[in-house]
Amino acid sequence: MKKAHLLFLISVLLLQYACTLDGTSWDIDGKGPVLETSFDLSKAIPDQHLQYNTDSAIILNFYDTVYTINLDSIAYIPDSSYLYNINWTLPNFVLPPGASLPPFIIKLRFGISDRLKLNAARINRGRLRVEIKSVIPRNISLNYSIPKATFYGNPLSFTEKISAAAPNDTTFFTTYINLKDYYVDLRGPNQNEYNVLYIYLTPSMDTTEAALPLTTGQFLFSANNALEKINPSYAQGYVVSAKDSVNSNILDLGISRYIKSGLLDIDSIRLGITLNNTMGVDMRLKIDKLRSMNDNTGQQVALTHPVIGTYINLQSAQNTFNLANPVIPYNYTLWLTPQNSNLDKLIENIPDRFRINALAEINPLANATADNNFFYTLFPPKLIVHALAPIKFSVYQLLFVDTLDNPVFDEIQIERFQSGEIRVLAENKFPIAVVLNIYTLDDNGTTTDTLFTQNIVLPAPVNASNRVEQAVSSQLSFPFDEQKVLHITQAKRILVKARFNTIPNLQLLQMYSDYYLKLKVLADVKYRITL
Amino acid sequence: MTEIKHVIWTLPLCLLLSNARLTNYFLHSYSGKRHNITLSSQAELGTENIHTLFLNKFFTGNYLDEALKNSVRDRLANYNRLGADWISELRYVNMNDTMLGKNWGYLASFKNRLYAEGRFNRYAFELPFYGNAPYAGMDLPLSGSNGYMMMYQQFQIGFVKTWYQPKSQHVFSFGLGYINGNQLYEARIDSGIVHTALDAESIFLKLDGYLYRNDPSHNRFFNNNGSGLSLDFQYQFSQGNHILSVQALDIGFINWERAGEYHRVDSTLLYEGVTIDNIVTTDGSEFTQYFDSLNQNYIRKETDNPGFRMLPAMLHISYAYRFMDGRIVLQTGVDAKYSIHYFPSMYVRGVFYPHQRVMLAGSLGYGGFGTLNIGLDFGINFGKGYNLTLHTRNLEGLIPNTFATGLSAGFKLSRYF
Repeated sequence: MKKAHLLFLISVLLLQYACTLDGTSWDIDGKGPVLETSFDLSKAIPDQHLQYNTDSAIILNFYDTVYTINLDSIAYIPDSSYLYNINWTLPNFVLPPGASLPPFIIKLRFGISDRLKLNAARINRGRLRVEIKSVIPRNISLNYSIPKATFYGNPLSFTEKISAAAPNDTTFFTTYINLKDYYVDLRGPNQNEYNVLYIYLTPSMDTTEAALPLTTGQFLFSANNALEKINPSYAQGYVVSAKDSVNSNILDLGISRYIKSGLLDIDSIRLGITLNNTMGVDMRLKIDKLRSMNDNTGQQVALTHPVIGTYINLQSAQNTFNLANPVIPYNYTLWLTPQNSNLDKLIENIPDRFRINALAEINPLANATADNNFFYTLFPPKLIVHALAPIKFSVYQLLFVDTLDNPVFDEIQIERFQSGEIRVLAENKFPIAVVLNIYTLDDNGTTTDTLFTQNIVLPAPVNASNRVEQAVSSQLSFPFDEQKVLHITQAKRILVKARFNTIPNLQLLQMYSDYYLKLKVLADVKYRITL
Repeated sequence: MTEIKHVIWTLPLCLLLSNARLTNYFLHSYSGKRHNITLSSQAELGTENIHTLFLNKFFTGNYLDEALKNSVRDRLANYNRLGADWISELRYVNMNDTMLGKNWGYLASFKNRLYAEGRFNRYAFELPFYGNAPYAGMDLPLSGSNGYMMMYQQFQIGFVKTWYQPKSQHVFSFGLGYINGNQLYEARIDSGIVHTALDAESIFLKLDGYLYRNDPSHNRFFNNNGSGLSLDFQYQFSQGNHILSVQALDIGFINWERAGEYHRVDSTLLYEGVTIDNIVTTDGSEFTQYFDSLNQNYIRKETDNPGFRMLPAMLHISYAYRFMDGRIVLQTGVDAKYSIHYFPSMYVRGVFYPHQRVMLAGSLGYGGFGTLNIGLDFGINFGKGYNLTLHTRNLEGLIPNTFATGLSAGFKLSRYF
């Protein structure tokens, strides 16, 4: 029977070993659509930034906050801790049971920048950590209070029982106080300081304890007060006057990384730049130079406008003290138009960045508000841009170039595609011609292959009014064989080049809401199925 | 008794075996033996159209070239049959009549059977193996394809009664089996059309069918997904050199009561490419979402049990005649299965004993899952009650460019004592 079992087992194993689908493969001819998509300007620009004339001409109406000053960083209060040792500094004395010692006063200084002299703040979040270590050999009650820190009018105060310390030992307690929504007066008891809080510690002995002899210089206890993660929602005081030079890029667009050459001509554009001052601080700004910089061509175009070289006064916002709507901001709007500036030249330079050279002054009239500068961190100053322009332009030989990491990931298993053709059917109602080239690049960036043989999306023709009436169909073709598949598989990166021309050339053409580009990708391929 | 003693064996020639058409050769050497233990296994695979070379390449991890695919396609009819049956068994027979009474015996066996059959529309082959491009512009019908595969284990006990008459012998046995329904897969396409537009801009698909499988977390060997009963009846009559036998095996059912997964499709789909809403902002996830939505919208997943299914019962009738004192035996018979895809197979077989311990047999038949059946058996008696038979019923698949697949192979190792 053992032999029989062995024979059966061997038979089964042989059968299993011999049969495998791993590697079974064959080729099929597949044909069908892959994807379809359509593009119009609303796909590129959010609808709220577009408006349409009655003739369906598209107007860019961009209004948005493009920059917000983070007041949290300005009002940043770093974590800090302050350790105080409390000694008996008066003459020798015997404290009777039930009696209190005079309060010990601790000064807590907020570690704020010297440029901020705050006299009050409301805490948005953060806590106070209190650690008391006592060597007093009696049971005592310790009253901890900060009269100038109030929670809706109630001063911060609490009393903690501290057990008697054994000889040569300490007793201690730790507690955390959530400071959210506390209002703190930082001027000190005499209203003549800033950025400080005073803490009062008052020990009293239990009535059941024996009298406690105190000797001058005797160490009683230590108090460690730590401010942790403090962030104010409101701060008031004096922002020290200062002048700062601003020499920086204010918009880093990096367009020339993609647009390598060509001409762009745009129609009239109106650009409103609003400086929204929500701080109770007077400021002024003198823009010496604002330049549009194209890193590819090295071309710089400086803004010409009467505002250049003159001061813009940003008056202080008004404090309503109404928590729901606490600020009436001061808004300054600068309108750049073709009539008062060369704005269109700045745009047509196809800028990578705008660079500003300016002088910014804070409180140029010193402490004119008598320590009443303020800011609410939840209402930060903003830079708002309002652009109004018909989407009307011409492009000539505008070359878009981008290099991508090879997007053909393993899951596609492109090596299974033996040969065939990918076709792109394009239905174009834009009066724009596109010549598309896609190249495969090896590790050294050398072109190893080009993908499209037919690569032109034809422009839709315009009528006498420069208006497209009918879309035009064209077909892009990407035939491939095993060699091309190999190049795609081995490509480190893919280079995409697209050249755009509005037709007729060099003529401003208005874009309309019925303009579109529909693309449909079809495949007709020999594909290897592998199990 | 003396004139027919050479055919009075305690154990019958064609009976008490798990599989129709198995034969107890070398019985002449064991006429006094009353115990038999047999380990056997036989697998067969047959189609009318898909030939052996194709299956060999397919199941051994090879590339299927155009010529190979074409050679199958050229054989395809509109509808095509295929089937496979693999039966393995360990069986013990005790004919010691002192246990149950005079001329009574009993048997016990454990059998595993994997059975699959189906039929497919020619395009159910051509579409996956050639792709849709060659059929662009055509309505490709997929209806009428169906099949199933089941595997079960059978635990059987049975009883054998022999009647000896002056000139003849009757052997009747019956067995009752418990069936462990182990695995069941079913697929069916009641109607279906694929239409690829000539310009490749769309693919239309209409499909009405389902796929069933057991709970995939519960389909290991011996897992119980259903239970059933089976009956075997076997009868042999012999007189002189004439031997007539009738076998009806695996008459029964399985109630597949444990719920499995149904994937039902009854939908039409016009595929015009995955829609990318915004080419400017796309991250390519539309493809995943699209195919997920196909699963959600077109494939209805249900958990249900398939209920009762009949076992693929086997019926075998054979007649044998012994020549030359048993050195040559001629046998003819017909076997059928409870299946619409298995045609009753008629065969003739010649058995020759060139030596007392060596057997050679050849057979020729027609039917089954394929058409012509060419078989060959080889047996050897090792002595001390041991013998081994290697056999095939279907060699025709090895003949290139003549018949489609018909392949089978098996062995039977027995000991008589």
